[in-house]
Parts: sequence; C-alpha cells; structure tokens
Amino acid sequence: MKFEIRSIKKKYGKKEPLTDASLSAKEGQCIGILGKNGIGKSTLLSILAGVQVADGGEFLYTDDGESFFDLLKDRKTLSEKVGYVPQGTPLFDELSARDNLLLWYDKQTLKNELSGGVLDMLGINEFLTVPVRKMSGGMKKRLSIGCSMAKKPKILLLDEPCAALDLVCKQSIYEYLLTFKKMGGTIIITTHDESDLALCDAVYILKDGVLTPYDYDGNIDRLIGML
Amino acid sequence: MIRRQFVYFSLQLKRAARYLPFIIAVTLVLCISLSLALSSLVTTDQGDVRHKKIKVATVGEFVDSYFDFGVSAIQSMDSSRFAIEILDMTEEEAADALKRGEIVGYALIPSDFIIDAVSGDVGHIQFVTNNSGVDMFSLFKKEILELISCLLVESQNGVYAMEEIVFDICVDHSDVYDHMTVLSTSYVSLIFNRANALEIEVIGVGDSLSFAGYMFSGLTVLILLLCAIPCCPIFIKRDMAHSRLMNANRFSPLRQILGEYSAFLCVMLINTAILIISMTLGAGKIFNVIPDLAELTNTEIILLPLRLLPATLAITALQFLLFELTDSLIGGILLQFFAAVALAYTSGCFYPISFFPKAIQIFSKFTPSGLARAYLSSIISGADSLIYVISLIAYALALLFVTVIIRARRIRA
Repeated sequence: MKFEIRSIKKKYGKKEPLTDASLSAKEGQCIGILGKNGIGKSTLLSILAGVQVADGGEFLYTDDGESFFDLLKDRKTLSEKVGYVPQGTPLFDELSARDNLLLWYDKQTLKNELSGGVLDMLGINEFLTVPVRKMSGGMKKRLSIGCSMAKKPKILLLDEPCAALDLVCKQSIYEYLLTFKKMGGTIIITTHDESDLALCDAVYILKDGVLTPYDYDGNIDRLIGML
Repeated sequence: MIRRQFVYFSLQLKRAARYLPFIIAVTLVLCISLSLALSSLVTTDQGDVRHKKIKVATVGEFVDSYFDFGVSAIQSMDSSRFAIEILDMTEEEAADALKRGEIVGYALIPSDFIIDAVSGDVGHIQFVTNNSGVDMFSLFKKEILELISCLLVESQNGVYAMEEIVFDICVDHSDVYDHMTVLSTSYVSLIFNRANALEIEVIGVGDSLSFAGYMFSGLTVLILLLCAIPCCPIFIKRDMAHSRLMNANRFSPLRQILGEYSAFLCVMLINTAILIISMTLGAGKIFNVIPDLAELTNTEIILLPLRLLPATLAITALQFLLFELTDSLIGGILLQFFAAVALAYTSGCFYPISFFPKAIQIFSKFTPSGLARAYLSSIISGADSLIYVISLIAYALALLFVTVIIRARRIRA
C-alpha cells in the first residue's frame, strides 16, 4: 500500500490555508504534521477524510504500487481506506462505550472486535459500560480511535490525538498506534506535542499553505524557528 | 445504510429518554401553572363582567326631555345586573377622560338624532373607545340586549294600556281597532328602529372560539414552544467532532438531521400528548372553564394530539433549527426562550390576535407558531383546516432543509 497527496488546495474567501500541500507515505509509516495554530493542519486532515472538499489536488492511493486512484473522487473507497479521529470528542456523552460503538459496528462484529480484535487492543473492554461523561480523557480518545477503526482502514488520520492527555494515557495510545503501524497501517498525525514526534517516521511543517519535509533531530529551538 | 440510520435514531432516542422525566416534569409544571392562569383569567373575566360599573359619556348638542328620561331610566334600571353610568360631556372632555381611563368610551350622538328618532329614522351613534376596555363591547352588548328586552315587554304593556285608554275615552268604538292596529304597528316599529340605533360589530376574540377556547389554543402553542428548553442539553451540538466523523463515514448532514429530528419529534409527541390530554381533560371536562372543549368525546380528546401532528411538526422543526444555530448551551436556552416568547406574543398566544395591529395580524399568519395556533383553533371549532395542514407541513420541510444546510456548513467550518 502506498499513497501520495498532490497539491491539495483550499481557500476560504481571501484566506488560503492550503496552496500546495503534498506528501507521500508507505505502508507502516507515521507522518507527523507540525505547524502553528490555525495554519491549516486540521483543514488538511478533514479534506483527506472527505469532510471538506478541496479546491484542487489529489489523494492518490494504490494497493499494488502500480494502479493509483484518487480517493477524493471516490467517497465510498475513501471512507473504507481512511479512518479519521477528529479533534474533540466524537462521542455521545450520555451513552456508554458499548452504545457509542454500536453506531459503527454491528453486534456480531463488535463482539468479535472486543474479544481479540482492535477494540480489545485499545482496552475498551475495561470501560465498556461506563457512560462517556464519566470517562477520562484517555478512555475517550481510545474509544474515539475504536469508532474510527470500524471499517479496518489502512490509513489513520489523527488530529492532535494526545492533546491534554496525561503520560499514562499517551503511552497507551502510542502502544496501539505502534501496533497499527506494525500491522501495515499508515498514520498521519497533526500535533503540537514534541513527544508525539517519537512515533513519526517523517515530519512535515505546514507553513504558507505548503508542506515542507523537516528532519527533526531533537533540537526543539530549531523546530520552533521553522514553524 | 438503513441499519445505521435506525441505530442512529435509536441512540438519539436513548439519549433523549434519559432526559424524558425531566422534560415531562417541566411540561407538567408549565401545563399546571398556565392552566391555573387560564382558569383564573376566565373566572376573573366573568366576575368582572358581573360586577363592573362602566362609565360612558354622551357627547352631542341637543336638548330633549325624552332622551334625558331614557338616560335616567338606563341608570336606574333594576333588571340590569350591572350599571352603566352615563355622563354628559363635550367631545374634548370625553376624549381626555378616555385617555385618563375615567370612562370606557363615549357616544357621539348626531345633532339630528332626536328629530330622526321621532320620525322612526334613527341615525347611527358613533362609539369611541380604546383597547384598554377590552370587555367593553361584551358589556355594552349585554346592556343593550337587556334594554331591548325590557323595552319590548314595556311596549306590549304600553300598547294594551293605550287600548284601554282609547276604549275609556272614546265614545264611538266602531273604528277603534283600526286605529289601535296603526298605533301599535308604529309604536313597535319605532321600538325596533331604536334597537338598531347603535350598531355593534361583534368580531369575536378570534377563530370563532370563546375567549377561554382561544386562550387554550394560544397557551398550548406557548407551552409547546417552551418545551424545547429542557431538550437543549441533548440536541444542541456543542462539539462538531461527532458530526464530522459521521460525515467522513458517508453519513450525510441530511441523514444526521433526520435521525436527530425524528428522536426530538418523538419526545415532543409524547410531550404534546401529555399536554393536550391533561389540559383538555382538566380545563375542558373537570373544571369546565373552556366551553369549546366540553362537547369533545374522550376518543376525540385522545386523538387530538395526533390531529395536532402538522403543528407539532412545524414547531419542532423550528425549534430544531434554533438548536442548530448555536453551539452554546446557555445561548441555546436563551435563544429558545426568547424565540418562544417573541413568536408566541406575535402569534396571539398571550392575547387574542384581533387586539394587535393589522401588520402583526398579517405577520402571525406567516409564522409557524401563528399557523399552529390557528390550526389548533380550527380543530377545536371544527372549521376547515386543510390549508393550515399544508402550510405547516411545508414550513416543517423548509425549516428542516435550512437546518441541513446549516449542519453541512458547521461540519465544514
């Protein structure tokens, strides 16, 4: 599996957060996208997830490395190949984890995933009957990822997944993401958190609507200067 | 796809069910308090009609002993349960007194009124009043009706009295019956002509209903409008993450809105059934303060919430649009409250719409709440309601369409 993002453009009136956003990734890679607040990181992910429509560009995907097709022109395939975890909590506060999952999984699949599947890996069994409003931030994020994994996507888009989480919660999410990578999944993650970069195989900086590859060497001052 | 639509709807219903006891409690509190208000309003209104002494001025340049006699007769009439005090004033004095609320109105009597009356050709009296004396017309109508019945009885006595006098004083009785017939006919025609002297146009409080019946329909719509407030925590989207995730999974804004709105509608239908049945049974059957509802059978009462479905559709669609306009709970509650009060006011839910200026009367015909109130009134009065049904359903569809557009924009924002 391989994908390539080519010249994604997006304009809101006079504001143009994305002018030529391009990157490529292979199976099992994690791509980190950095940038200032409001620079367009979430816009890029929402375009790649099919929530927003790009003004131009392509999201080319191939399973065999030869025949590419544009996921932005095929919403059905896009929703099957790409999982999306937006910022915030995409869950019903009043309902339990099980109820929230029932929207994405049918009963039999849910049962299977909870016993040895992706939901088991995320440790959702521990809080299956707990209402979302009583969950910790980490539980909510794990459950959100669980909801996004219902169609077993090959690409996972995570919009600041570890924002405001404690170290234990972050660790449990990292562990799952590393497992997902090992299983051949590809991750695109937007972040402001330095610790998330340890997970990334490549880092891009989004500035002036363009994605620029950045070789992160642990020098945070240099990184800040580049943003 | 259909499975997920059903699951989404059932999850929304499950969410709403957790708040349902609270929602029903709020509805019942509103229902009881507004029913008591309606009951006391109707009772007070009836009490006022029985005991109010109204002051009316007469304005006109004339001197006539018979008119003065008539005025004093009206004031001292024992058969009347309430008194009218008639004051002689100039037009300027009467207008000032009316502004100060000292009189409920004044009658402008034309200068040739007496001359015309004698010849049986009575001109119209112009009655000037203001909106504050809202029950003036009903009082006046009752007073005039009392007066006419009294005069008719007295006229019969007068006719027979004249007959006796004629028999007593006339020597030649050969053509006395012919004279009596002419005399009586002229007398009665004069009396009837006097009854037409003052034209009262009774326009009703609205929609061919009694005041209590009208207020019942108005308050029902008001409660329905306010019932959305306890639903705010469920249906206001404070975080669009869930909608975005659903949209990414090809669950479009239209399908999202349909699922959420259906659940909201179910809650409101339960609410409406409780509201209508309790109010109809309470106010119409048990306390009997709404004569328009007294004749409804129990089956008709139970079916009333279903018949009200087009109104519930339009009102809930409006409320759902308001949920979508905000992402703040406090803002949403305030928006629902002020929208409910403003719409209820301009739709004639607090006062009969006929009391409002023409512009507001026209405006109310185009608001969902105004249409809903008129529709409920038409159901109670048995009038034709097809046009309301069509308008309300069209409104519901249009409002839901706008809501879908707003949802789509919020997802992409």
